[in-house]
Amino acid sequence: SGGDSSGGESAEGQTYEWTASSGLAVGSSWDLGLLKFAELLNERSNGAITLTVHSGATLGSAKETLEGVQMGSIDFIVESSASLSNFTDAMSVFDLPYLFPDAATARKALSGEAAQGQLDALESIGMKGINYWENGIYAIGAVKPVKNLADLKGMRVRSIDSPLQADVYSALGAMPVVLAWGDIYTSIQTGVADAVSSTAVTNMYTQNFYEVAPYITLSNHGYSPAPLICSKSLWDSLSEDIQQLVMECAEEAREYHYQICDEQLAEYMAEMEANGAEFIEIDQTEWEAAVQPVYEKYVGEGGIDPVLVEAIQTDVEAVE
Amino acid sequence: MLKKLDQAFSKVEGFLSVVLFLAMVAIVCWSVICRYALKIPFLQSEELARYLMIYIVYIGTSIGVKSKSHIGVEVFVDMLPEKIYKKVRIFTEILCMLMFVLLFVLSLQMFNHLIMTKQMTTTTQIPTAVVFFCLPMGFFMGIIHYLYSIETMIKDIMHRKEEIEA
Amino acid sequence: MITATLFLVFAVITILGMPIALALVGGGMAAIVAGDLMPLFTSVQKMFSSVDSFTLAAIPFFMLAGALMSSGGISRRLIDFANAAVGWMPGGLGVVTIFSCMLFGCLCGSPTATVAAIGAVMVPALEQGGYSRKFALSTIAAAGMLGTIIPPSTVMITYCSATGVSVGSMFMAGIVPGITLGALMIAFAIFYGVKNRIPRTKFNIRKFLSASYHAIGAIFMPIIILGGIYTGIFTPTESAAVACAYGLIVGCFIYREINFKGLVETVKSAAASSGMIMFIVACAGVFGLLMTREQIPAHAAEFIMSICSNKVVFLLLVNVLLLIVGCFMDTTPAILIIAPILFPALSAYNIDPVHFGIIMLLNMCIGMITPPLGINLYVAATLRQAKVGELVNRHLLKYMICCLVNLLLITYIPQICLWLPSFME
Ligand code: NA
Ligand code: NA
Repeated sequence: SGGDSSGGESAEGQTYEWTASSGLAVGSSWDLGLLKFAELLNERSNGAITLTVHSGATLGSAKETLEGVQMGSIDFIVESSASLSNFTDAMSVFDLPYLFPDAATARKALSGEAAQGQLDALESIGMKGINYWENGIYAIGAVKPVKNLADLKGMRVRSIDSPLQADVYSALGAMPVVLAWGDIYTSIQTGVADAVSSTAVTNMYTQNFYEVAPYITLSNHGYSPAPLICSKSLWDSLSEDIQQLVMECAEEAREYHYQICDEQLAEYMAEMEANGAEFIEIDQTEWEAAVQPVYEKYVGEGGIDPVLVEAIQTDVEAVE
Repeated sequence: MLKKLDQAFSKVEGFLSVVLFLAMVAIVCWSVICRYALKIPFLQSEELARYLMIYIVYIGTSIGVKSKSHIGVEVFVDMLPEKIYKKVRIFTEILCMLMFVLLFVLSLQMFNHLIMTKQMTTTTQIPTAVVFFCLPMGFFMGIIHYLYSIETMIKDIMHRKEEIEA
Repeated sequence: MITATLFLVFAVITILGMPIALALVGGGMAAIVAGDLMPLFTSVQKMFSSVDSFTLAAIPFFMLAGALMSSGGISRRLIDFANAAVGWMPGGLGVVTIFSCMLFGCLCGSPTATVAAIGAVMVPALEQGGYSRKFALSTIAAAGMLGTIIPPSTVMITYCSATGVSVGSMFMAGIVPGITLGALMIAFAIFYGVKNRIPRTKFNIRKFLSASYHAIGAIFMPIIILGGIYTGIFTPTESAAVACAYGLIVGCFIYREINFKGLVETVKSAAASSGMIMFIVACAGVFGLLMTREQIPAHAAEFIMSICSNKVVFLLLVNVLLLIVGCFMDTTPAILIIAPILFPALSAYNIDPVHFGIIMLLNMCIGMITPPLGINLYVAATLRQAKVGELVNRHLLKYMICCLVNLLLITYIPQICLWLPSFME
């Protein structure tokens, strides 16, 4: 947010220099999507807008870059809904297991009214939610095959430090272990944990987890959307024309990002299989039943609005 | 007055660092026992240990000011003649103190920002501002240590001058 | 302009002899103001988040463990034991120091934690054994890096996630270069021992057995740490906490050398050392953020690719770039920024990505012991409340030469690192 972009009137000759941050590596679907976004912005503004993309968390952790967006030191960010849960309750509904049956349904349901309302709710914490990108659908990478819940019983499964996520693994009969991102690989290698989860299938490949945990169960037990967010202070300073332009470019960039997601997922799964990984499909009904206690604990008194959950479920049914 | 404050803060730092450090050891060891022997999850351990560490770090930063253990590259100032050296040392000490004042003010701003945005920590669900408080606290205690140190250095020079004049 | 401000302010504050941490954050803040880049209080946000990492907690833990070991009498017994075991060898204790770092490095990826953990015991041992303090501190600072090259290593995992290289191959590739570097350092330590006529004790079996007997409680400490990590009972960071608890129990209740007052002093001094090191880490985060925002390493890397087409020249220039970046930036962000830029060019120069990863790693390791900003130097200095200038001596220079020789060997003979991974295919 250089000094150039302050002022806001889209006077002739005004230029904009913006910064975007992504926590996923260079070459990931977030990175490529943001680069597309930058390219479109630059092209359609006749060179007036330059967006510099910093990927691989080089500007900082999720927590700190999201704070950066609030403070206006970072202009755009793509970050998973799970990371946003510390900032607002608006996104915690997406932490619920089996809210969406699969990624394709999730994408469509997210354009429904209920999910769009949650984007608008980000305004109260200094963020302008533009649209939903994705982190992906969760899987479990384990050291031994997990074909049903009995196989999962007693396994030490790496979880993120969210209490809800941890309760999901407890409900599934496993023991959640909180490990930092960088410690996962060696912890599975030495046996501190038997499985890695709370992460998208693509990460099993990009982080090389499949080398130590080659049995990947496509459990679909969580889908993590990742909103594209603009700093509210920047957004409010922009003219309507520019806002419109940003929205249009973001929409196209999102479609491109989805396309990359699908391509990479197929490519990575083939590559992992070629290198000895095994993919296991499960009967989801048994698992969906097992996580019901999580809904009982967190929806309603637990803080997640039951009306909202119902509205999203209605959107999901409409898609199906 | 300054001397009393300086000593009081030293005591507080000593007490806090011992309590927090031992608590941090206990929490992490307990989490290993929970995972391996008791087979129950202890999710808060990682986060609690991390935040205790940050407190220890910024209390330690202030202790470091008091014990003059913040390392710098001193080869260049060491080459100065003794008279100038002492004055330069007072000057740099004041500069350090001013930087701590700036950091103190900025960290209060950040603290305020965290209160306004009501950000919470993930597992323990305490306000992030509570955790961040160690920064303004550490910087403030550091400023007091710097002030006392500057006072002592100036008194020392004055004292020498008097001795020479007498 | 912003870049110039960043480095100029850093240089001025450094030359004035002020704390290096303040030079880093001062440079960073001046650059933020000069470029009107973001709110100034972003700097304190960065100072918080830079130390907000559980992996980093290993540093204060090992500092406390070290302090407890020395005040609780564990260090003394380990030193007697080491002396009785290897005091007869030329440069014996130097060899043990380096070898311990390699062993510890097999389990823990953190160079700073290695310096804190091994240095706490071996630096006093070396001094008692007749080695100079300068040699002792330089040795531990240099040998501390071995853990980053010998797998497992979190830095390697970072490189792999940034480039898509297999972690398994990288780990295999690190073994031989780690051993050759360790061997070069050991050779230097032996040479030093012989040349300076470090007094050698005669090996005495009765003395050895008695020292072993007295050190039983102490010897269990490394066994618990190494064994616990190896069998997957705890992570390296957790092992550091267990080490503290064990040191506390042995020092207070078995050897009974720590009383309550002593305990308070010990913990307080460990807090001060941790604060000093981690304050540098925090402030380096601000400096590194500005390097990233201004894309300094990225521009430099692109520049290198634009000017040379020759493989040898390319590798040489990359080595120089990484050495310089290693002086000012933490390893992880540096790799995350530079690796993806250079990576696509590797095939054009016909360089193996695994080989390149090891080269990057070795360079970043050397950066840990190059002044003005070499984190290992600072951790080593705190072990003895020494000035950093004391560590910048001819011994350190010789260790650097060991590193450079190793680097050149590996740069131009790729088989050294590619031989082992080739069995995986
Ligand atoms: Na290692
Ligand atoms: Na360096």
